[in-house]
Amino acid sequence: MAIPINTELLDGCVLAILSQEDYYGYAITQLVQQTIPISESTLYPVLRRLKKQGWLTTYDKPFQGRNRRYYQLTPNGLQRLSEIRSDWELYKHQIDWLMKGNQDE
Amino acid sequence: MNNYLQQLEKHLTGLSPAEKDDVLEFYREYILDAGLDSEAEITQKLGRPKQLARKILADYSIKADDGADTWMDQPQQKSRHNLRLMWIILLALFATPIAIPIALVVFGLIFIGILLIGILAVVALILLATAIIGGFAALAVGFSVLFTHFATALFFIGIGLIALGSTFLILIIAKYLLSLFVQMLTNFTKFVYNKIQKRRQAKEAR
Repeated sequence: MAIPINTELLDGCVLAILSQEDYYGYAITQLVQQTIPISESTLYPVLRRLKKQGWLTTYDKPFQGRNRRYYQLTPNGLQRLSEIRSDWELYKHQIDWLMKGNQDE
Repeated sequence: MNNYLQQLEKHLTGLSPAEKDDVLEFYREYILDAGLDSEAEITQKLGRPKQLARKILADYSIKADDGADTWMDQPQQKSRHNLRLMWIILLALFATPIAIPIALVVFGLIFIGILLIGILAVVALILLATAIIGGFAALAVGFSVLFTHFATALFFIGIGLIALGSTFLILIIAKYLLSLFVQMLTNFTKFVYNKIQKRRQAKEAR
C-alpha cells in the first residue's frame, strides 16, 4: 500500500486490537503488520505514548521462565478508540465521496 | 541477543534508568517472541543497535518537546533542551541511509545557523566588555578630577553610569535574540525531521 498511515490511525488500530483482547508487544506488531506495513521498530514508541496518555496499562505475566508484558485497554482508551473510530468513519465517507467523482451532485 | 541489547543500552544516552529499562525489556521480549536467534537476524529486523537507539531517542525528544508548554517558563532550560533535540535529530538523520545527501545539506544549514548564533554571542560579549571597561574607566576619570574640574567630572561620571547601565540593556537584547535564533533553528530542524520521517514511512509502505 502506497498510502502512509498517520499517527492517529495507527493509535486507533492498536487500541482496536486491544479492545478485543490483551496482547503482548510482539503479537500486537504481528497483528498490525497483517494489514499495515510498519517496521519492526515502530510500535514501541506508539505503545509507550498510548500508555503515557493513560489509554492503556500493562501487566506482566510469566511465560516460559520469563515475563511477557501484556497491554490492556483502559476506560479512557476505549473512549479514545470510539473518538478515532468516528473520525475515521467521517473521513472515510468524505474520501470515498471524492474518489467516486460525486462532486457534481 | 545480550550483546545486541548491551549495544542498544550504550547508545540510549540521555534516558533515565527507568526509561532505559523499559526500552530494553520491550526489545528483549520482542526478540525472544520473534524467535530471532542470531545477531544478524536481529539486525535485519530491528536495524543496527545504533540506528534503533537513535530512532527511539528522536521519538522521545520530539514527543517530549511537543507536549512541554512549561519549558516556556524557563528559557535557559528550553535553549539547552533545544540544543540537545537538534543534536539527536541530526544523529537520527545520519542513521537513515536514504537521507544522507539530505542530511549533509541540512547539516550544512544548521552549521551555518549555529555559526551565526556563535558570532552573535561573540559580538554581544565584546559589546558588554567594552561597555563595562569603558564605563569604569570613565568613572575613574570623573572621580579623579571631581575636586578640580567639577563639570568635567560630572560629565565623565555620567558617561560611565550610562555605559554601565547599557550593559543591562545589551544583556537583555542579546539574550532575547539568542533564544529567538535557537528557537528558529530548532523549529527548522524539527520541520526537516518530520518531513524525512514522513518520506521514510512512505518508502517503508511501498
